[in-house]
Amino acid sequence: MKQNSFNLSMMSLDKQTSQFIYTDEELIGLFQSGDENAYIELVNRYKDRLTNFVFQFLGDIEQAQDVVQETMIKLYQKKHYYREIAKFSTWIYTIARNLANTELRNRKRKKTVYLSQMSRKEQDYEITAVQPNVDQDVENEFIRKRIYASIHKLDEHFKTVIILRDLEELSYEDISDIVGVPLGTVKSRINRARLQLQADLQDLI
Amino acid sequence: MNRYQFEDLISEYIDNQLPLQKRKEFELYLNGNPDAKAKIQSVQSILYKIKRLPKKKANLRFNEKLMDRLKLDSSHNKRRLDGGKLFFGFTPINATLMAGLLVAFIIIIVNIVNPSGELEIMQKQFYTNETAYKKQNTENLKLENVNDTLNNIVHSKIDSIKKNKKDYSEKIKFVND
Repeated sequence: MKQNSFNLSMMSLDKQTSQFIYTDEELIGLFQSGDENAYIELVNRYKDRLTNFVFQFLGDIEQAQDVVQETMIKLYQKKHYYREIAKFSTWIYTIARNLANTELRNRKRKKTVYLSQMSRKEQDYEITAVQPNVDQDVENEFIRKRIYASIHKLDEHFKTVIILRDLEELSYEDISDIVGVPLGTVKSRINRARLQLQADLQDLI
Repeated sequence: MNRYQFEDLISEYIDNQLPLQKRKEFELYLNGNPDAKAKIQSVQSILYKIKRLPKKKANLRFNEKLMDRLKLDSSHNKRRLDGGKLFFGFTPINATLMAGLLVAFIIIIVNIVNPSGELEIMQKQFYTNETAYKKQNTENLKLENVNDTLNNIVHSKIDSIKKNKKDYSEKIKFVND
């Protein structure tokens, strides 16, 4: 690991991401050979996607950011564990998912009440959009809260596949790799999760 | 196709994952069942709303924080490698564990090599022989002491007799004299 050669000058590459034309797998290959610019590019490609993904699990943006930071540190430290037999995206999502699960287990151990454990009415997610039409804004906020609450009510294995499929828009095959269950099970879980959401959110339609 | 089969295939139909034949069967069922069609539309509507949920993004200072953490981690690892006292390349705790494992390994190997306890028998024999030898030695020493004591007594008696022996030579007078 070339940690000693780590240099803050890499930050200057932050906004030069468009110059890379490599696939994720090529980038991790370059990073494994010691090119730390490739690492920065991978971070830039995945930081937002993983933040959104982990947030859906934890319901807390600050904690989601911490988990994604941990994920990126793991990527830096364990880069040699990646083998090209799997897609890079499934590998990084698996790391993030495992860390998010660890965070959830820690929460349960501490027996602290978090947003995701509150009732539907108490739940409050960050709504950043400011719209001129106040009525519309309130209505949108209400709908979002209801949808988030319904997703959080799902069993853990249903919640995972629905986030990966409908929010992260991953393929069935990738989800199967990330979750580590057969393709048929993934299809069945996605279907059952969607039917549960449909039943729960009937009044929104 | 019945209702249960229809419900099992809803997501695959929406995601366009059904093979052609199955898709035809599915659509045939849909055309004959308005309730089924309404259910499909309802699920699609929910999915549309889910997909439109605002996406959370990483903090603007995400990269900066990450670099700081990596630098911190790097210097921490360096300090740990440079500053820690190592025994044969192991930290003290690991070295102790390794030593324990090594001893256990040797004991196991000895037991494997000598499974019938021959070593124990040999050890016992050795100790028995050694005890007998020591016992013999002690008895010999005792006998030697007794002999010495007896010798001393005999010699001292002889000496005392010699001392007490009176010289009658002058007093003896031969008859002829």
